[in-house]
Amino acid sequence: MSTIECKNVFFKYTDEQDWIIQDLSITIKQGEWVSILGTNGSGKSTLARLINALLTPTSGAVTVAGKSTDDEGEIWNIRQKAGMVFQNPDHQFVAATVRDDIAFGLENAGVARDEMLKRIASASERVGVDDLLFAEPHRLSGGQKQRAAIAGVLALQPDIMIFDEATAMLDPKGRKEVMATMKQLHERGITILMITHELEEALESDRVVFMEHGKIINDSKAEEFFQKPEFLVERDFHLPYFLQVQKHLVENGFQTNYLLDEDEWVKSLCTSNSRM
Amino acid sequence: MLQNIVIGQYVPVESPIHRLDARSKILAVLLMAVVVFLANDVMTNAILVTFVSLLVLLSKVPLRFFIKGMLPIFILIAFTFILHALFTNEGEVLFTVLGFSVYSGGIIQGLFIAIRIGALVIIASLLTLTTSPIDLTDGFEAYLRPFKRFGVPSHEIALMMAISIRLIPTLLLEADRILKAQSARGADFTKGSLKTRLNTMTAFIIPLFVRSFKRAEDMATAMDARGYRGGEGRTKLRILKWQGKDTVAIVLIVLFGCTLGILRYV
Repeated sequence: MSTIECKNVFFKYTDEQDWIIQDLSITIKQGEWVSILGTNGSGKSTLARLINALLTPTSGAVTVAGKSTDDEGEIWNIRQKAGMVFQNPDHQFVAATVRDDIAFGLENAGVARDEMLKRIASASERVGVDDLLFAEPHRLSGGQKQRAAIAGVLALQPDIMIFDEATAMLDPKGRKEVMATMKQLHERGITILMITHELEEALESDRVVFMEHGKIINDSKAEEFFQKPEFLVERDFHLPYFLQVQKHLVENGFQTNYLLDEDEWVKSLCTSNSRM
Repeated sequence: MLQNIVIGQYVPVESPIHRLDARSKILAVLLMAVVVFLANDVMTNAILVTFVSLLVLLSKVPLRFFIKGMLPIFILIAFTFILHALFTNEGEVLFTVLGFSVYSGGIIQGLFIAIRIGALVIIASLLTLTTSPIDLTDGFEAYLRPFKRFGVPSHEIALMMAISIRLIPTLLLEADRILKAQSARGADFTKGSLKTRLNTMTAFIIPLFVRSFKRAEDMATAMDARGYRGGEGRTKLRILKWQGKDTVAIVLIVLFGCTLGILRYV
């Protein structure tokens, strides 16, 4: 069980800089699926890096499972507990084959070879790269590379997985693959922290955190968050088509609240008695 | 375009030589580098040629790969052959070119030298053609490890090699992309004097470097996030297995060396 807790966190890289994160407090419980939305430069990625101890707060405290990221001795444990998948599939593939890449984290953690083989087998099977174990990175698609990266993190048996715009450089197929993998990890009780620009992706999550200028300006359940699409439209976010339609319906009084599941919404439209 | 590229020179076919441990193959190459110089007459050179040919056949690597590896060395071989042919004054005069008398001994001496260099190059190619770059890296690391106590960072060197090998196709792809992007902006890499060409090349080299630095930084972060903290306390997935056949291979090379030595000195 690993709860993430940020208390009054401030962060900047250099003294002259403005705060990248200012007075941020948030608690994320084990098993939650949280999307972190926000424009570029809102501090989303920095927050992710603060959580797995790649960065430490300038002031305030970040704790994972009760351990502070400030504690030198705990850094490696925290990084193992809170695994991270980055944006560029090519920039995080360290080894020459998928199998070696999954092993990289395990080797770092000093896992014995027998155990390593077992974990590589189960992690690769879970994300569906078990038939690609001996493939070299340049023979893989972006989605396959990202799934290999997920397997590499998964093999370390983390409680938390942080996705830093992990789908941003993928084609629609790759995106679908990675999202399906996330969903499956969530069902297994792993906390998912997903930094994204894509509202379609945020719709899948339980909780939406919206950041602006290093502050959290919205933190609510996904269903609640999407009841106010104006909030997003004001910030130049492009609503998914079915939400745009719903927005018109709500504004014209044909519908009272937004449905986040497209199929469910279509069904409700078909069975509705109102005459539009 | 990158679907077919093979990193390094590795030719993945099944052969007894492919199945040998990288360490035994490296050791064998080092031994052969000495043994090759024991050949000094027709008999020993013939044996050397036969032995090397047998190894090549045993590796099941198509001949053209060896020929490709020989091409750059061919000039060197030809040069040494000509030098020897011209400057060795043994045996009878065969003919005279540009005031130089060419002796039969010179031709023979030149041939011997050519055979030695050729054999060395083929032996070295055998190593890279039959061993995947990763195994090769592991092999080198194994030999470097004892020098760790003298401050040789064996693990770091091996990791650097491995990452470089892994990034070759990525770099090629990127180079191709930058070339196209700059061509689209009007850069012409094929026209003009050498100086203008070099100037245009900066439009290619600089983005390539900038991107590489960015990638290096990202990769370092990703490695950090996955708990990389140097070689201490690290376990390894890849293990090298020294088997009976590796010992046999080394013994064979040593026996071959002894045979040549006996034929030469006795």
